[in-house]
Amino acid sequence: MNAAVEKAVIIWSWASATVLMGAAAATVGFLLFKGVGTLDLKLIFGDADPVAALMMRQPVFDGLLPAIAGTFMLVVTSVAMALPVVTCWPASLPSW
Amino acid sequence: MRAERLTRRVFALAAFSSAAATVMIFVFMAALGLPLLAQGRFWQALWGPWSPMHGNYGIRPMMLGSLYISLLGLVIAVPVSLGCAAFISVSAPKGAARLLHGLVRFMTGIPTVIYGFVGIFLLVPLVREISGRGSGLCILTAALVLSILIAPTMVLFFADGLARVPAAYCRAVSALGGTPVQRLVYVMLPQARHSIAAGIVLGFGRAMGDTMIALMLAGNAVAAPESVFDAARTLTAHIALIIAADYDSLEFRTLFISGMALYLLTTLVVAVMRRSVARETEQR
Repeated sequence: MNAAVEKAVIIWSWASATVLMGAAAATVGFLLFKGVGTLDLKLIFGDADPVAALMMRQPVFDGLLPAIAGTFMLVVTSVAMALPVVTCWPASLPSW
Repeated sequence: MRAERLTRRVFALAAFSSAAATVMIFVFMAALGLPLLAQGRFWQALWGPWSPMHGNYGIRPMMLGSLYISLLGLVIAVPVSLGCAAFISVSAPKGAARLLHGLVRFMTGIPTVIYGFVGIFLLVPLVREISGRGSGLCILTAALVLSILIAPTMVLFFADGLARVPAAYCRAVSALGGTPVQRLVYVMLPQARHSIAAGIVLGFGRAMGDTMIALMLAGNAVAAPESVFDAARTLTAHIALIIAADYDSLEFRTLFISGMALYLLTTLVVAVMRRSVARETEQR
């Protein structure tokens, strides 16, 4: 194999890794850069008292808690439904 | 023994019901799309233009949009993913390979809406500047972000395939005086071709099925796109947009045709890719 081709393969692999890492860094970096400033308890609980909100004694109107709880419930429910199916798949299926 | 047999049955039922769900979804879409078929408007709905004002509900522009965006995304993502897999298994210093592998795993978990959201702020202005026309919401923008979405999945498949090449083969190349790059090109890549094909198929499936990125970044124009800087609408984004606005009309009925087209297009491309890999294996 030509030495130039070998060098090109190495450069291509380094360039690919750099591009992908750069894309990930740009995505996460942008979110952090824009978001970190607003990150506090008020963002999640709004004007409600955090402990009271978590104990479901006080409703949260302008915080993210309802959305977080909704996402969590959806994920837990769907994993609970999928888990029996997924674990059963390889063990019970005939070899065809 | 009876308990064992019962458990097996329950397990088999779970397995078959999950497979049947896929078939049932298709049957459901076909059944609800039937009224169009009965009215003899099927071909018009499948291949005509989309202009509800004139009674045309064709989904051809969306099919083209879906195909263009996912194929372009794939064309961008495959070389990058293959390069990353080569980096992980051949050219990287030890720590860097592990870092990239970890990062790629992390990236598979980032929700698509995050990519779309960040793409709007970072990539759209850039593409608008480069193209010099339009809003920057176009096929190229969506395909670029889509390629970032599907690349991690493909890298994991590719790197896994390269890692599973028998060590004896790799040692044989080294014993013959082969360099790591020669080992990669002549032994590892040909040996890992099944994993590479599987990764590409999976990546394409994800690209075709993704809704958020196309919805947020492709511009959602209903005209058939003519260049990568044109706005386009994918089948998935089309379904999401119509279903958000309507529940009972001819427009709504065509959604089932869209669903069937999406289903069949994906199946067709996956089948062709699998077939070509299988045929190539037989020839060897």
